[in-house]
Amino acid sequence: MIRCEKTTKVYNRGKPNEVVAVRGVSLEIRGGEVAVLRGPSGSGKTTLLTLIGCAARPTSGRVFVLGREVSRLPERFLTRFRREHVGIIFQQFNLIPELSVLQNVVIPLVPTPTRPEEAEERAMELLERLGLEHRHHFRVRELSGGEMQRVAIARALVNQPEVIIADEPTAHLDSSLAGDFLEIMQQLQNEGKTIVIATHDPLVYEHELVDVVFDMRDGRLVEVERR
Amino acid sequence: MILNFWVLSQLLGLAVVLLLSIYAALQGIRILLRWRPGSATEEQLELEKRSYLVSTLVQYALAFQVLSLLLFVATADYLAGFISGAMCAFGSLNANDYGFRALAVKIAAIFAYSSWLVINYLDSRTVDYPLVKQKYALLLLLLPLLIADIYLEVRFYTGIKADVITSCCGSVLRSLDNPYGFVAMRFPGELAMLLFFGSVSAAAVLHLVHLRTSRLAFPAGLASLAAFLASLLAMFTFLSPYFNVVLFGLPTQHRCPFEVLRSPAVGYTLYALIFTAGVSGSMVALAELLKRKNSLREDATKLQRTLARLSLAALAGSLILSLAFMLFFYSVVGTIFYH
Amino acid sequence: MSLRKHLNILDYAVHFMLRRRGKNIATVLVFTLVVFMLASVVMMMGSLREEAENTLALAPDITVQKIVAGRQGLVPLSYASRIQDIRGVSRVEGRIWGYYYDALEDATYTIIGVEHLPFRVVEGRAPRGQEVVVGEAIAKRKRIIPGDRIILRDHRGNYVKFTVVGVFSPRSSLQSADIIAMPGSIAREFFGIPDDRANDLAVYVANPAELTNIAYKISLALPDARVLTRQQIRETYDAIFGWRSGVFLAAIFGAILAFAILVWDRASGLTAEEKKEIGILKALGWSTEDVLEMRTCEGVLLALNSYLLGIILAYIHVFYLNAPLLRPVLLGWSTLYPSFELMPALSLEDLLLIFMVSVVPFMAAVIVPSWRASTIDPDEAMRGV
Repeated sequence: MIRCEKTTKVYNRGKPNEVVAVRGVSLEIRGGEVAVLRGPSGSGKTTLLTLIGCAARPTSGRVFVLGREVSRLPERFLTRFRREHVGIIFQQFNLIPELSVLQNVVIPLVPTPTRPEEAEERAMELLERLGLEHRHHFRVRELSGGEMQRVAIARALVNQPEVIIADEPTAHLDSSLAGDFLEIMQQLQNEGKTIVIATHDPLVYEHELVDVVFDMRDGRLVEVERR
Repeated sequence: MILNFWVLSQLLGLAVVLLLSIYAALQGIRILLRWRPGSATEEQLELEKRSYLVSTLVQYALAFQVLSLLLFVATADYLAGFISGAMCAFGSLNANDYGFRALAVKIAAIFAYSSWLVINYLDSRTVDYPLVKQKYALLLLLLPLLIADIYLEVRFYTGIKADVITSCCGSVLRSLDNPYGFVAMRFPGELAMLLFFGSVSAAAVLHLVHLRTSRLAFPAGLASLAAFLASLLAMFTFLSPYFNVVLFGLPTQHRCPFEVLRSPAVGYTLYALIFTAGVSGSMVALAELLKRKNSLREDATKLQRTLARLSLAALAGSLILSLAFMLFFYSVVGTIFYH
Repeated sequence: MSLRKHLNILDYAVHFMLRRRGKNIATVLVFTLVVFMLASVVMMMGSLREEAENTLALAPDITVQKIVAGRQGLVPLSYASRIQDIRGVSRVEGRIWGYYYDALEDATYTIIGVEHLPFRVVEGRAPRGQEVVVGEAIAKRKRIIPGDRIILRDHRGNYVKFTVVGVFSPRSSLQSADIIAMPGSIAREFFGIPDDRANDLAVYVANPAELTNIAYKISLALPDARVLTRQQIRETYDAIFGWRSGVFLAAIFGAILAFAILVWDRASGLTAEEKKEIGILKALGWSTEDVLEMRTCEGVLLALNSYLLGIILAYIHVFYLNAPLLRPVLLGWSTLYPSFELMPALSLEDLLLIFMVSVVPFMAAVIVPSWRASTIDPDEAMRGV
């Protein structure tokens, strides 16, 4: 499903500020699993997440997603792959504040041949499911933190991805909202989606839905805990 | 030297095209030297990004080159007012040796830029970028063409002297000491007619066959190029009078290919059809060449079919427009064969 | 293929732009101003050129004036018969015309013998006896319709009554707008020109190829005559035109350059918000090409709006308001024409020309900044850079 082979990512190679964010990581996540990348900040978990989520290419090593090698794809193809198969939930939600909830959710469908009515229909379905249909015309900045999180989830799902990656999704949520989030993830897992979450929140990695935890430190994979 | 707003604007436009092309070429050289397919170093990522810049630059250069061609003819038409004896673009272009040469180079440049864009389009849609080296090497070949264009145009403008009397379409095209006049007068009208209708219908039929059977793409492309040249020849010989007589009531001996532009709706449509048919049609042959690379086959075939349909439509359009005006002419003059 | 996709991106670009109205407004203003200046000059030049063409179309092949002490004097009609003897001359006419200052209106009119005016009378008929036909500008200013009377003061200071029997076509206003035409004999009497004299001689030649030769022969035969051919008049127009508009256009090209630099500066300096938004778009599956397309749409929309706005404003400025901002710069013409109204003359080629010197440099200047913006890495949004 998702496999990394000796994956390394270096930023600013050959310059004084060279950073090796991920060093020779090999791991495998099976289809339909919920995986957690655990580690302190600076451990390379976000970078690894971008590699798995096809948002960046590794400097060396190989990455396979859905059985396809994505580490050598030129940008155009990597982007298309990400657009069709991956949904991303960001740490700070990364919504566009001046746009309405609905406009935010349809963004991934803009550079596709989807007609606007169809895109909005799909977005409305998701918002309904997440209990946000009454807020669809609100500006994002008028929402509460939990609502923003759900908008971000809706946006990650609008392209009907097989893989969902989430970066510190509970960092800005209180315990009860974090519980809601995990409940949604549970539903998505039941639908057969593969979920990868980078976090250091025990509420998340101790949760029963997690199938496998990868411990990261200094860019290396130090321990794998399969439950 | 003649220096006025029109000439200055034309030179400004060319300077912009040159700037874009030089910049694109420099980026191209860099990519050419450092390209490591399959590598994921930051340099390679940077080069991939730069390849987007190059294709954007060339797209703009082509668009501006088309505008520049239109403006060049318009400028020549405007300059006719300053040149003794010239009445329209034909007279100005004929004022010295460089006018028609510049025009020819400009037209060739449009074909060259279009070819590059076709190659680039296909190459960048393929995972392994199979044509990177050829593509950027070819980019360097566009530059001399552009420089020739600018050189000829500058020579053309500097060579124009208001006090030297040139002769215009009306007289040039009837005088035999001038090559263009020679073509217009001595080239048998019936033969030009035969060439025009023959090549245009041949190209159309070949495109149809190609679309139906996926064969004969190469001959279809070459026929389109021939039809393009025959259309230009036709405008210099037998075809333009039909338009000139019907639209402006000019004498039938007036075989000026530019006169028709004074009625923009008809003139620009006619030339747009001729150029579209020629450029997209000949690109069909180029796509056929590129199909030999396996990884390009699928996209090249798709593009080729689109181009063939476009060319077919434009060929039909130019044929219908020409025939319509010949019919009008017939209803006015009472004969088709006026020569 | 997927036109839909491009429409979606265009739609997003429009919203993207409208959300940043404040940032774009300065660019639109400057751009509009540049187009406005350029278009005003081009339209005015086009209009004047057309007028000049009209004037030339009516001018005789050769005009012969008599020079007395370096200034223009009356031509003896005996010259006409001497010119008529030159081989190749088909016709010679003595023309009567002159300027008339109307103190009431503070305006100068041209009074001309009607025989020499090939203008079409739009309303009314040709004048006979104490009758005149006037140009449209005069008719408007003095609220005259055919049948009205006007009173003019002749060279002796006497007030002379004329009946207006017609109004000239407004087309080619340069020539006919401020003209009062009356029969030649009446004009002669009005100005007090002796019977054996005329203001100048209009010479018509059978074969245009002999024009220069005949003009030369006339100047040999009549040493005190100034001989103007149609070609010389045209060159005079062009010279005045070329020089004045050249100076002005050099200034405008300077403005365009400054404008391009401004655009470069503005477009390359993306705000933190814009950068972040583009990063988000990239992370959400927009490719470099998609973002590039969006930025290009933005540039094109900006350029086309400013272009159209500039053209419309220039059209109003030149053809409705008679170019008040350009008059002082370009009108060395006022020495040739006391007053005139500009007639709308705008061709597709003019529009193309203005496009070439405004939109093209603008679009070229934004390519690199747009590209740079579109190559923000998708993982930047995730790494919170």
